[in-house]
Amino acid sequence: MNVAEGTIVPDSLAPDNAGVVLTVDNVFKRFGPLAVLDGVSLTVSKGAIHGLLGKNGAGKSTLSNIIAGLLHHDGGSILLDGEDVSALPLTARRKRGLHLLSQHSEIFEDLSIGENLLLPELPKRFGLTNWPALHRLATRQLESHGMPVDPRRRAGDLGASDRRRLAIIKAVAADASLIILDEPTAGLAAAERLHLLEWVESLTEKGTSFIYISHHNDEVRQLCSEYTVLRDGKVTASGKAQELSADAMARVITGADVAEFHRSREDHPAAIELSGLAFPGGGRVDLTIGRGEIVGLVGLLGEGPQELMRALGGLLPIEAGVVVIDGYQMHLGSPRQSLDSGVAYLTHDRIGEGLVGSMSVTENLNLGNWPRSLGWLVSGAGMNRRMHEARGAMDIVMGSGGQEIGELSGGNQQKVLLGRLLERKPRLLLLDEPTVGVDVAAKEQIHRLIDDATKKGVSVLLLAQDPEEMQRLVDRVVIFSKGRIARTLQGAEITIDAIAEARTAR
Amino acid sequence: MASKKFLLDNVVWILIVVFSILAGFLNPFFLSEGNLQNVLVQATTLGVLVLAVSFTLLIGEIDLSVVGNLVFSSMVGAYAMQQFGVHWTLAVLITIAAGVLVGLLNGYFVAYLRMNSLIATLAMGLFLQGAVLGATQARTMVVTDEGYSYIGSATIGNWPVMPIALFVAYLLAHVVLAYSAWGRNLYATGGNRRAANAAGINVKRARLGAFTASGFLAGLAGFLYTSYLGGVSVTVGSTTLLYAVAAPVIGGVSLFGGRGRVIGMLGGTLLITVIQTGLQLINVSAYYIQMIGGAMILLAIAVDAFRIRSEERGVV
Repeated sequence: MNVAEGTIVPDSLAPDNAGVVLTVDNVFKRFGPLAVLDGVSLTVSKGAIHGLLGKNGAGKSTLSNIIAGLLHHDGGSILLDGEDVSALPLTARRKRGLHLLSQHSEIFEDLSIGENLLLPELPKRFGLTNWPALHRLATRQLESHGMPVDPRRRAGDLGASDRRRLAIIKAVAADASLIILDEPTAGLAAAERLHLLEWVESLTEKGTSFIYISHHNDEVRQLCSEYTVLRDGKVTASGKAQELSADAMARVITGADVAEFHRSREDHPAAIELSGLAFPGGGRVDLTIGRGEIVGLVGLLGEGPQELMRALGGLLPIEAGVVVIDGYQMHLGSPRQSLDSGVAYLTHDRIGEGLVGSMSVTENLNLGNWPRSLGWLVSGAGMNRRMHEARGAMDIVMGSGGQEIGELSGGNQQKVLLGRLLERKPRLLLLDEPTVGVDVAAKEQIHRLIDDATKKGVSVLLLAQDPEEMQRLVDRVVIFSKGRIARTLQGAEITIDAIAEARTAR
Repeated sequence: MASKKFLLDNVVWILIVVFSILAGFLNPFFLSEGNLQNVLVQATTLGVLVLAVSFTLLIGEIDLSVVGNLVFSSMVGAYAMQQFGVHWTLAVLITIAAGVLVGLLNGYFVAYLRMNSLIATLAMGLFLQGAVLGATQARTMVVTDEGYSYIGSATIGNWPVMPIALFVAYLLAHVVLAYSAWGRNLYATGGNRRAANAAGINVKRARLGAFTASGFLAGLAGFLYTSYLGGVSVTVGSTTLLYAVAAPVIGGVSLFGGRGRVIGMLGGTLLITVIQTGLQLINVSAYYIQMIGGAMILLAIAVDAFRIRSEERGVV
């Protein structure tokens, strides 16, 4: 093996074809002018767990969507068990045993576990569902895959890791030969992660192969027998996972990327004081935020950070405590009151909670903050002026302000949302996954816009799944556990590893 | 493609023209000035009711109490004149205030108590119409005041003044819905309630406002209706409510909220009125008018569904 300049070229990649379940050969994919996948090749062996690594935006999700048949590729071929499936749709590939389980594996919360497992082919008798047979069959499948739960229970009552198990069993039971797992351990505590991983490993003994997408390098080194690293749409490394040191792995993933935005950490005078703040899902939070400071919030799902943000944004009630901004005590009870007090929340749920799909780009930019004329009419000229300014300042790629917001790309939609909030001249910005579903270029731009805002004195609370994104932006990291601030990372303590570890450890 | 979209967006006006030519061919009187006046007068009460329903459709809800409210509010106004001898201008205000009150109540039920608008307003409509039925013992309450009846019966030249009320109402509704901050908040609330809330719009108040506007318009329709007929009768046809709900949808107002133009609401109103009067003029038996009217509405909605399908490919 040859490790040089952050690239690993495998000595020999001459797989014996009998033991190969999937071959991806020289696949290309463009989105507009941007090459997202630039000649990607990889092979997955039978019964192997194949780690697919790379930064956000490296092309992992695009590649897995192409393999599963959710996206069309522009060149190259995909062979499943030696058969070219490039032209087949998702359903046909699934019949041949290829399953993709996305981060938010869809389960029907209000149906039983058994129904979830066996849909769409429930056992029938006289044209009606045969419940006893369904429960027998489901129990057998659950038990044989090491998940002894009652199939009559409501699936929505399962915990996060059991939901993922259920989705995986469903695929295995449908005779999957290859299952793509996209971040299956996201949001799980360390112990649960370990459990889930060991369980996945046990499934390979039955001959099922996995492609495993993860940010956690240590997980990949532990679990995977083989791996491929993507960077900017190209394969920069592949081979056997055990032969790769942790350092070398980090190096091939990150590469030497000059375009990345880096923020300089400075001291910030205190501006915002939260004392004794209690809210649903968290309690008695004391936190001082400096003027122009970015504080990263880290914690498990439902353990406080997101709840704190939503409470400050007026979307969850504040049950006790005080928020003081520049010496004035603020009353935050609704989004309107928060916005009027200079506290603006950027949602993680752009479609559901951010944009009004039936309205134009310009209207979405001005939503709820209409420029007025005569006191009660919306000033069209005022809206257009803001649109023009935002478009120039944020480099929003769009046709005209009158087009519907849904026609814009995710990154540009996000800029419109951010523009709406910045127009309010906030003192405190609450950023809940500010770059979710956004392409790499827009992500860097959004990072710069956030940094620009802090230079004008805006304070920021940041929530980001990607530890690297957080590490690059924050001045300080606050770690939550069970609704309270457990500890703080400062200065040199703020490393990607420390953030990733804090996210999963209790 | 652009022309196809234009055609589909304005399908209601094309249907009006096509039906008018057809009816005019079968009975030339249909295209006369006299019948145009007739159509516009007939369209006035329905048109204001259509606006009332549309305000609630825009926020993704529905107000089925508009006809009950119409009967109720006009009875309250007529009663005030008969029993207390109030001046007709005050009676008009009382009529509309009664409508507003019902609208506020509906809005409180839906926006604050989170009651389902379909059922709550259906019940409210039944309650109001039942109350009027009981109070009047199904007798018609005659209104003889000339001032109150002026708008429904007066003419300028040989043109009736009633349609002026229709056009003024639609013009104001257009300005309010398309250009006022309050109107844009209704569209935003109907398009995505959570996003509107997060953007600082007081969603509860917007929803209360939509139902109050609906009640105001139902009260106004009550005044116009009584003024035109010279009295209040509880027997407003049950089909009126269905037409008042169908017309906005024919005119492109989404049942899911957030979409719909005032000009489309007017088109829906006129199409239904043109169909009704046209069928009468070409001597279709009264017993078949309802059936054919239903079929025409189905056709209009089918064309509208085609428009939506062509816009949203791949949506189940």
